[in-house]
Amino acid sequence: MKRKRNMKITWDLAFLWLVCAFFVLVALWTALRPKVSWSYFENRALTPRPALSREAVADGRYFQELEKYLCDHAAGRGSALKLSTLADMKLLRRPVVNDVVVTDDVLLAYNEYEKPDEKTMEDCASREAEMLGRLARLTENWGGTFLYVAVPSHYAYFADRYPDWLNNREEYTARSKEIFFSALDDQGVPWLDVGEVWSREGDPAEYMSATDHHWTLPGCLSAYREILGMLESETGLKLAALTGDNTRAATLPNPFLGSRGRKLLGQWSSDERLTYLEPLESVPFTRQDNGKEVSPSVFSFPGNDYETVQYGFFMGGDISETVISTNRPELPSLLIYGDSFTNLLETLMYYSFDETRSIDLRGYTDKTLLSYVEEHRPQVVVCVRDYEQLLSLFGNGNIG
Amino acid sequence: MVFSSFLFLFAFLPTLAAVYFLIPARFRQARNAILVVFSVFFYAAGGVRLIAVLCVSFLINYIGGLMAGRPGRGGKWGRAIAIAANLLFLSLYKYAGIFAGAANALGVSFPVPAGLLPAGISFYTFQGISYIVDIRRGNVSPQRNPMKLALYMFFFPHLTSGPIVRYREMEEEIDCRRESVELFAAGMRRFCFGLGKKVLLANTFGEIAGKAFAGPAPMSAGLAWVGALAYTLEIFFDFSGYSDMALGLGNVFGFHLPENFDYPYISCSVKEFWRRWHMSLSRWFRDYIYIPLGGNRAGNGRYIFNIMAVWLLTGLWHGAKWSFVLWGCWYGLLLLGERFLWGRWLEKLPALCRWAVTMLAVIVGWMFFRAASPMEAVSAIGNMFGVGCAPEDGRAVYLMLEYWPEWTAGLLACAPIKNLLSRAGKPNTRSFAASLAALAVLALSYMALMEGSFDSFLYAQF
Repeated sequence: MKRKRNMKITWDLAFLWLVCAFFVLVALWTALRPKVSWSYFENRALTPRPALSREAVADGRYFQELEKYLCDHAAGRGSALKLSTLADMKLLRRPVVNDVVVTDDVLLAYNEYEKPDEKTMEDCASREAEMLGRLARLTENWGGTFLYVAVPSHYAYFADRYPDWLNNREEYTARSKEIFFSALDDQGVPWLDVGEVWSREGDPAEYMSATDHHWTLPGCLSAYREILGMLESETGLKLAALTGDNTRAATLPNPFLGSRGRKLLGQWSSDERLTYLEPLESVPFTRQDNGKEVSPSVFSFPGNDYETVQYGFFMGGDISETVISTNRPELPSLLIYGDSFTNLLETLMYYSFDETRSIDLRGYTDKTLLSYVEEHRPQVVVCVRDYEQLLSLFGNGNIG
Repeated sequence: MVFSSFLFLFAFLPTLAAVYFLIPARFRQARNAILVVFSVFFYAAGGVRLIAVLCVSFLINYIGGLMAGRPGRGGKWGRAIAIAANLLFLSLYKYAGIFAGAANALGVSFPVPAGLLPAGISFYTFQGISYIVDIRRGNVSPQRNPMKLALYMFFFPHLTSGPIVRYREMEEEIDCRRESVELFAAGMRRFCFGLGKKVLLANTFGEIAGKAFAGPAPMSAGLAWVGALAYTLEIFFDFSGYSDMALGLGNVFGFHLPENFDYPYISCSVKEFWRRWHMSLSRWFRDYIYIPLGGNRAGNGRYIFNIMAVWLLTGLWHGAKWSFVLWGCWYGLLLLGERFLWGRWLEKLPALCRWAVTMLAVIVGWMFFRAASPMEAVSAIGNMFGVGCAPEDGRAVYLMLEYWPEWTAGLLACAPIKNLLSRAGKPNTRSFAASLAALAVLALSYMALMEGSFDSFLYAQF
């Protein structure tokens, strides 16, 4: 009896030692480990150490902030998040992990369930189209051309990959396209729906990335050919185009970490690689980012063959203002603006123009786009937005 | 500060345990003082200004206790004044808003106060009242040592969310408790399981309920049921998880706090449910309101009045909202119905049917409890039964499939499986297995905490 009791106390002591060791080690490791300010996979700034003040202690804010700080900088946090993500995907087989719908071959966006308000949609469509109409008419003042390019959002392109019980926004997408393109027609704004182009080509899966929310080189090339064709027919210009004959497609050996793969903290194994296109005969150019001279390249090559690359490889990611000058005054000038879908397109488009300006209104705040266009008077203005942003009046939707 | 926070787990608790156990057990009062100081710090972490609230409550009950302990009319007056002061103090912080709102609705202009509700004020006020009444009843003697009374009132495990402890349940252990390795280990195991209930289950069910109820209205019937079930599980694991942690922490420091939950979701009648749910509150209302009013021994009319009064007050105790009042009335009516209308008929049904009927009543009740207003509750309950609901949009299926591990674990943890397991195998094997399980739950809870699931306990707002 006594032996049994001793045995139990031994177990209890062992348990207590383990628990105490856990508490003390975590506390010490958290206190002593070097602190970082940015979480790469979560793509967010970590909570900074709160300042100690009498007011903050008096109203309880100090300890609330300290709690957030400690959670963000806790020992083993990165590993815990990765392990948890891996367990959710592989062990528990949750259909949605970290807001990513995990399927066998593609990572999709999780869309909240919604009940769109038709009146608001119509209102946004007409206001956005009215602004674009003003831009198109402004461009025509000096004989220029404006083209609005709508690219399928990742969730819209892979809508059929969603299970029935998840929201693939099919109805919202169809309705927003319908009322927005109709509003553009009312304003006389020329537009191109890349979704229709891809549809004619059989909606190849490789046109959209499996692990990122952007298009791939083949998808972008398809849109690029259509855009050039439309611009030529609108302007009567003959634009030099990149084709299979004058280019070389290359694939980076580096592992590609798409935006959705990143949300899964790199735990979703994928053999997807980035492919890019280079002219066989390169066009010399200079490049300025936000007014500063930078290396004349449209690609941001990694330092070695094994570090991960992201979509930011194209044009170096989202930059507020980029100017590429090829010093070929006989060619027209281009202004391209929009969200990050423009980045890959820009690596192709600059080839056909003397000067290519790229603006991202999410970061560019010096002046309105209308003022910018008035100042630089490009002969061709192209707006590239994905379906999700068609009715958005913010960021690149706010040009006035 | 809450038990499931990083600060508590990795700074407060280890520091307190180290300081406490460094003092030899024979210096009992020094150990008590340490507990009081740390308890005040625990409370003050939510805002140092709250210490003043705690001190006022303490003074009311310390002085009130001494007054109530005097013989004759002086003692009666002392009790009355102390109880009135406690209730006034509680009303000032908790009910001024609802009373001012009601007065304004009746056309009498009153400014509606918008102030900070001190965490756990209902718990420590009720403890104070029970202390005063028990002195007057002669069940306990007034405590003249302020440190000992402070330990009873402020002891951090029960300070913000109960259980509501009576003075006599702690009195003896304040002076002569015995900390031991076995009790410490049992307490830590219980704490780990309570932490898991809160962090792994309650927080997830809160997320599910949030997703179900936060979407575009109206809800589909399926979604309304998923939301209602999730909330039913959330509130159980949130509160019983807290109680487990509180009781476990009590054990760590040598105390035996009263049980608060006994698998309420296996109840086969509403009466049984309230014998198993928030037991310390039910006992408080029984001993300090229901029985003094006459209980069930003063005729049917009086019984009905007593029951409705108790449940109206129980609803109001939970918060200054009309939906809580409605929730209290719901249970009052159900208990009266069980006694006078369908109780005998219900007893003839198989246990499974009785359980299903009881759970239906409980789940509907939680809809009143959760809603911001009675209308919101009525709308949600209507949706559950197909009234004014939207067609299914897949959300219910998504919430079931996405959270299947939590649904499974949650439903299992509602049943007394632990009691069955605790009878299986040899005691040493059980202790070893329970310790291993507690360590695993602790590790999983830590991982969940890192994912940023920090939030407060539902019952701390009462």
